[in-house]
Amino acid sequence: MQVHEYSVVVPAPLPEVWEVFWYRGPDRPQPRDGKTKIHILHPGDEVGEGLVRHCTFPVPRWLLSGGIGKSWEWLTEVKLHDSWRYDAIGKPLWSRAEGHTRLEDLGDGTTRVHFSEKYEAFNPVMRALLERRVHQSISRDNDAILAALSGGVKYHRARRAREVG
Amino acid sequence: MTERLFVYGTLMPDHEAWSVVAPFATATQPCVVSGRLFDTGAGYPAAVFDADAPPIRGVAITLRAHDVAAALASLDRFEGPEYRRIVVHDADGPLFAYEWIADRTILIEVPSGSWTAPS
Repeated sequence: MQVHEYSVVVPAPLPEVWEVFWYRGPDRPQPRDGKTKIHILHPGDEVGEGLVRHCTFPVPRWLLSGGIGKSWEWLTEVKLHDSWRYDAIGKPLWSRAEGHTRLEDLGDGTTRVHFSEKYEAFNPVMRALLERRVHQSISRDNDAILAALSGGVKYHRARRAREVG
Repeated sequence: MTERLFVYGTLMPDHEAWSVVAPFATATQPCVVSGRLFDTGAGYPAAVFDADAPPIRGVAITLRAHDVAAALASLDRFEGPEYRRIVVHDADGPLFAYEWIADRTILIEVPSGSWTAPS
């Protein structure tokens, strides 16, 4: 099992960072890499409890899946403007992940986002051979995550400005 | 349209992929449907349904009525091109189920018909 914990500080207040993760409108932006797609299959309740989404994302070509991985994610234990849990099943590698994301208001208009994840391949042979390499390849570095979150904040500020204007 | 789904492998409660179907489930109960169960060797089983075959032991999942379409859309993606969605029957009526349609030469039959007790 691979365990991954990290955090990034986003230069935006907590409600704006929450919106980046949880905005469920049809104009929700997709990641810019052109390979990652997030499709919400079920929106969950009013705060998103029970949300189900299907993600496709790049994986190493040596996994023989055309360079595309897929996951089915279920979000639960949603506490508005605070935290949530996700359980994900992935192919390939036939695997599961369990994670928590928590937002911390740093009080100066910035927000620390805490991520923690446990990742495990089901097949013991594949686990020994590939689990670490695959998890490393799909766990993006902090700079990329910060850039994505900052880009999301800018997108939603522009979206709100358009709606007001 | 039925609101029940027959699962016989990793989608069963407390199995590896339960979280794929759990968001849409309101109830579960043991269930048997006639067919042949196989081990794909990849960590998940395959089933070929046949009314004249012995029982495959699995679980009937009742889906939330207003989420059946979303559940099936999610499961269609999850099962992928190796399986097709069909309607099978147990003593209580019709259920959706996923049947293996890919190469059978790689499969090893599970004589017990149970993924949780294969021998």
